[in-house]
Amino acid sequence: MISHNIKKYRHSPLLNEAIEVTNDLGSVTFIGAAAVFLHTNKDRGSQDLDFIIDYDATDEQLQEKRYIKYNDRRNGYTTKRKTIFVDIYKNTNADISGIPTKTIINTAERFEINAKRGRINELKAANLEVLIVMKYNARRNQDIEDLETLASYSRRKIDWNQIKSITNDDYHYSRIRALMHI
Amino acid sequence: MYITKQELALLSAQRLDTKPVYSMKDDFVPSTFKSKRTAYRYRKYLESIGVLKGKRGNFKLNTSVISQLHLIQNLLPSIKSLKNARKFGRNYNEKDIKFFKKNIVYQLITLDYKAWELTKYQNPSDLYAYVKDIDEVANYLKDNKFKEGKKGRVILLPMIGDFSNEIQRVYLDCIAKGGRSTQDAIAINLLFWEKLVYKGHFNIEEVKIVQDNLKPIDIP
Repeated sequence: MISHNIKKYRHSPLLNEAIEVTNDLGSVTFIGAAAVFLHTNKDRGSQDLDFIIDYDATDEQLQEKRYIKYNDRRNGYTTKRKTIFVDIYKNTNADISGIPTKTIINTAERFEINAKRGRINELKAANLEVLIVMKYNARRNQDIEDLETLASYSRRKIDWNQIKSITNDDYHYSRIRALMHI
Repeated sequence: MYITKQELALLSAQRLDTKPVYSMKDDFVPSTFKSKRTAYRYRKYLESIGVLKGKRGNFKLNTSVISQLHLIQNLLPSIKSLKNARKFGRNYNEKDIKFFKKNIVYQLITLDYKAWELTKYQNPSDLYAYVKDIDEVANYLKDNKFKEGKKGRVILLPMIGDFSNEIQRVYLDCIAKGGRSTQDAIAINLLFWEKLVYKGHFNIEEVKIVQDNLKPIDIP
């Protein structure tokens, strides 16, 4: 697993919530806006945090930690802090945006960040290549914008061979490459 | 009914399926139902108004604008302003934004920060500001060690079009920018619909997501 050295991140409510969630639930892998933020230090996310719980967790266990299911949103929960919505994916989900959940967890990267009062926190997020393919598979307006952000802030770090092996498809590989070089 | 070449170019773009990146040969030429040369002329027009961006045979479309063809005349000033935007950065963090707000006389803040002020929906990232004399402000920033480039968080926009209804202008700017700003536009639509004269059409699923995530706030 790749580990990033301690990095100074911009103050962000999303990051603070990600730290709180990790403290509450232990081993979780962030995907979506939080993962984009950890890779680029650029925060332009909606007020929800998406992550996978790496271990088997039941709804009762989540409820004990005051993660309450919110209305009819499929994966939506509110936390005791009520500042941000969280979308929780269980490790039993077969795939998320076309990527097997196990692959996302097994290839995740660690990010060490300087939090309050010099405390070091460690967060885990989907690796860059997996994140790119997930965003490409989702293809909503905000995903395309996230891909542009990843292209301008992390283009040099992308391992194109890994993207090729994740997509396992020359057409989609060439489309992702074209998109990220425009 | 007579349809202009510009309208034909926009309609050809609207006919394309939603894709993150399009191929000139495989996607755009067939969607025009015209010759390759005409397709390239249409592409040039779409590029000139800032809704198409690309290199060689591939391009990206601002689908947010293309899907709102009924608003195109109202969106053109916003699109032009965004196309002529200039980005500046010194520390590349909040300090740049604080410096700008403290020292620069601007006409209107739009997009990220204004949308956040109105809706509290998405965290703001970049400061987009309309200024009267863009060169003068750019020179002032450069004199204060700001550098112009692609990654700056302070973005100057030239004043093009109508600014009489601020909320309407911010709303149109959000649609013109597309991407995540489309969600800001939807949030503004939901909260300030009575202040909007021109309204966009949005995907119902996206509206539902924004509606679910909007926090109850006090509307001024």
